[in-house]
Amino acid sequence: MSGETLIQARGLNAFYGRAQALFGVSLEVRRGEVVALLGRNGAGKSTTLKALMGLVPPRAGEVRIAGTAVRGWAPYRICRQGLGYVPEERRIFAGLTVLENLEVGRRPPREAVPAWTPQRLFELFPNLGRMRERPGGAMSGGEQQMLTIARTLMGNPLAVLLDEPSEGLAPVIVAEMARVVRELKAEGLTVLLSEQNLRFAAGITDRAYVMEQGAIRHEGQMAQLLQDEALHARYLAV
Amino acid sequence: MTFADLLVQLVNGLAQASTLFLLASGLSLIFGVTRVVNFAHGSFTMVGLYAAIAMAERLGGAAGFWLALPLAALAVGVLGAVAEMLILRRVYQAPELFQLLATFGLVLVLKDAALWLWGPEDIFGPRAPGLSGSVELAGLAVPAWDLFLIALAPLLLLALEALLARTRWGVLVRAATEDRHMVGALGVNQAWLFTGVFALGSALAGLAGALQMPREPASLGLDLVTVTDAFVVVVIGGLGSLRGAFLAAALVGVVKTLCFALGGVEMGGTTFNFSKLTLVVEFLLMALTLVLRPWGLAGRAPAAAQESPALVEWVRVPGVRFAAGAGAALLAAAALPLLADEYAVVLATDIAVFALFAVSLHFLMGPGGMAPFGHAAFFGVGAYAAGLLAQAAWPMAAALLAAPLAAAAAGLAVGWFCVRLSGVYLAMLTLAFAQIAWSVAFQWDDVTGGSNGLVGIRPAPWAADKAHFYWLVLVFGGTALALLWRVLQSPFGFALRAARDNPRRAQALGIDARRVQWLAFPAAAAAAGLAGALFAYSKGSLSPEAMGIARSVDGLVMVLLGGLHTLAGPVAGAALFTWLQDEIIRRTDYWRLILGAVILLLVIAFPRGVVGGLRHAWKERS
Repeated sequence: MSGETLIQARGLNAFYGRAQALFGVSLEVRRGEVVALLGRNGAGKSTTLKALMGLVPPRAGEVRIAGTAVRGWAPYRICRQGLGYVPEERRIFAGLTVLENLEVGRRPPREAVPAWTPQRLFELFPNLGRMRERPGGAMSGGEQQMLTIARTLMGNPLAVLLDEPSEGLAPVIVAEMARVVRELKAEGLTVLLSEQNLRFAAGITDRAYVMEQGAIRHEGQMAQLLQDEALHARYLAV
Repeated sequence: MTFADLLVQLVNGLAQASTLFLLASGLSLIFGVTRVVNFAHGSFTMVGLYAAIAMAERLGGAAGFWLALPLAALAVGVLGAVAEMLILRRVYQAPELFQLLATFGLVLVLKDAALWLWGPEDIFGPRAPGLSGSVELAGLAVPAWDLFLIALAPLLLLALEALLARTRWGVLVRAATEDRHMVGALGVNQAWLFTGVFALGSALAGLAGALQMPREPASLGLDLVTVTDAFVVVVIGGLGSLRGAFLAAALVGVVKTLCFALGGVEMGGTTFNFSKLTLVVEFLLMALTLVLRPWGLAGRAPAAAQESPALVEWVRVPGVRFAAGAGAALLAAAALPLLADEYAVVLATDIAVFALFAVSLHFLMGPGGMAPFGHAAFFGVGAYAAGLLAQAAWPMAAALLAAPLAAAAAGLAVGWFCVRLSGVYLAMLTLAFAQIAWSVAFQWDDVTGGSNGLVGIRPAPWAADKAHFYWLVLVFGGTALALLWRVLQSPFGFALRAARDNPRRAQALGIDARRVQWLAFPAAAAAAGLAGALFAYSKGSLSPEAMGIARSVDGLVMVLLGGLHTLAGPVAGAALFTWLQDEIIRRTDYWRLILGAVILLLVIAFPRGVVGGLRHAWKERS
């Protein structure tokens, strides 16, 4: 937990049109950490990830990726800086095969991180290895979710943003997803994920931020957070 | 006609199909990735042909001819890339139709650039060295160049397919066609991808032009004809499908030449002249395709709308203050004949007529959320109805009331088909109907006077004076405007906007979205028809140009200049456009260049339209 800070945000404000969605969001994720953004629907978790990625450009505040200030950059430059993004809606290229989907995500190798290849990814996601030529549109939801993660890893990111990775998946696939995140952590990858499924998040994350109404209300170690009944009732219970 | 003649025509048709395929594949690629409907595609073809002829002459000899083909394609590709970087790159965030407006500005600029470089006369190119003769085929003489073209198309199809399937660039292009924002989030610089696609598409258009060297002379009129053909083929084939474009090109090319070859055919005692169908047959094919297979022969239904910023624009439905302001403006406009000379009054009459036309178009585009490309059809139906009634000695007042009804009937019919589609497909279907109406006016000599049009459409004696007629236009136009405004505030108006913003949710609320949109057509068509009728009486004569593509495009330019999300926008846009056109035409032969440049500047400076842009600037300040 003593690694350098890979993702750092300070005082982010973001808007959809005239509606403010984020109010001074600050957070940081260190190298090798797996950190969760928790909160109910509409709390601002996805927006925070999109703001970090430049997809919803923040109007105020500061974003640093591996020490470089990137606020105002186009998403492709932020990606090249080392931030990977896995969208909630998956957004697989339906007309492209598994291998072609991976090709779209491919970026040159980075120093300090072992480069991902389709071969290595098929070891992590054995299912995908069995359907290399299948079009993305002909895959199940769980398979598509794995493919989006694999596609983002092809960019050899330093840190990955996972937006609601367990959403809409069958329990078996959720367990598979937890395995993947743990293996990625073991590889040294840094992850910031948004999640509503507390049990899923508890099994894989070190730390968490709790969001409500576009702002961060609480921050702490996952273990402590799990024991705080009052906190659950206030920010997380449905 | 003999079987042999038919065969020769068939070869001719397939050769034409080759060119169509080249055009359509470029257009389709560009649309797929950038979502820009590139009106300037035909202009690139025109430039390609001029450039190829110039290069072939400069280089000379057989080598010159063959070198000119790739060089011209390359030059046009570079031109396309430059246009993309300087202009389109700045308007990708703007609503779709603004991009279309930008490409139309490019059409005007390129046309005058060609006029300046190569002059107004048609220029004949050299024949193909080695392929200038004809080949004996089943006892027939077939032009060798046609056979060359026919062989080229499938080879190019295979090459393009290989490019898209086997190269990284091709994979990125296909991915961007599906979801360009996601491609950006994966680290791909979309700007260069777009520029590359634009360059390739333009180069294909340029090559299509260059290959016409032995077949037809270079002329300034090629641009719009070509681009409409390309639209038709792309839509019939299905947007984004190369194979579809290939099939559609063959279909259109062959059916067109067959109609020409059939000529007059005796049917049930009357002679039906098929050759008169050549102007319209491709549009009939397109309409038929869109009705039977809405996404084209090989196209797929578009994926659910992607999140794209700044596309959803609301339309302010103004209240009493606006009505008071509009009334005051109308009164001020009515004072004009007391202050200005007759020239200004005639210009103001034009402005008022086109303001009504633009408002009627805006009714469909803004509150209705649809984008008709062929709105001039309703203008033309109204104009011709008035013209024909005037010739039948109806009084003017009666004709002015009947014309909107005729246009509304046309709107009811056209709308029924159109609301089954959306987006670009809807736009293209309206274009098809407009072209059908145009060619009826153009070719039905006995009734419409054909290309000569109708003459002697005189206003009633009490309105013959220019100022009186101007006031008449203000009264009729003002009434129509007030009615449309009232409709927008009625439950129907709210249902229309609900159907635009979210058809499913509107349906869940018990609104028959499709029916509401359908009924918007006759309302808008009636207003456009009234504008057409007033136009006919103000000019005294009519030609098919009244409902040509250029008139439809003028309307779009006016609406988009003014801005979509305000009701004052189309009036301001019509005034600005009509006045600009008049001012510039009076001063220079290169009016298109200036008008085009002005349009480009306005689009880049005010992507929300002029009125919308000013309103936004005002809001930001306060």
